[in-house]
Amino acid sequence: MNSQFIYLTRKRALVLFIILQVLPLYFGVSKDTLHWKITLWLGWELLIVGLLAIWQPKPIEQFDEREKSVILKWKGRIIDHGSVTLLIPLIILCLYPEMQAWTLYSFAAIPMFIVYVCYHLLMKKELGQFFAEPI
Amino acid sequence: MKLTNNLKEIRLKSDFNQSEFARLCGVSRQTIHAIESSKYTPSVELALKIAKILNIKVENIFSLEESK
Repeated sequence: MNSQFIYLTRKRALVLFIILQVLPLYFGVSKDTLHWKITLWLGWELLIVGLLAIWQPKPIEQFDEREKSVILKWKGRIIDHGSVTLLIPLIILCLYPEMQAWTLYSFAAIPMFIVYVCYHLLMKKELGQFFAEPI
Repeated sequence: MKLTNNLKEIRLKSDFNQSEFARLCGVSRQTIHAIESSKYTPSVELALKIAKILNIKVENIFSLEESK
């Protein structure tokens, strides 16, 4: 069976990045306030960067022994430190049950996003491979 | 004790570039670079594979160095 894995080459990443700029064009023409438009645009760009950052260069079975050990180390750290970003809001919820859901979500989602993206980037740096080799 | 190696010199003597050598070993080019710069200690299996490809004894590539 052929692999369904989509290799993220530099070229594909660039094309994807350009295509994903279509939605911010909609933000520009919407009737939202400027402040909200900028917030939406920044959020969207961060999401794209996050998406490209967590995309692994090749399927797991194609990684060699060093790459697997590097991945295992960083995924372990992501689980360790990512779970803390869930524990903190839970503790806050115990202390302040009247806390708004949106505030609580920000406490969990933003640190978790930072952990996910930064750790994946550090993992890729250690792998020595940010994108897949040209096919 | 620190593991050192002279893989780079032996590889160059055998006229292999990193990519070609990595392909023969079944690992990535970055892994060969990491071994050569002593950033990664290969498994026994990979060390033996490297020695077999270079047609040399494994102890002639890798050696233990007394740490100061």
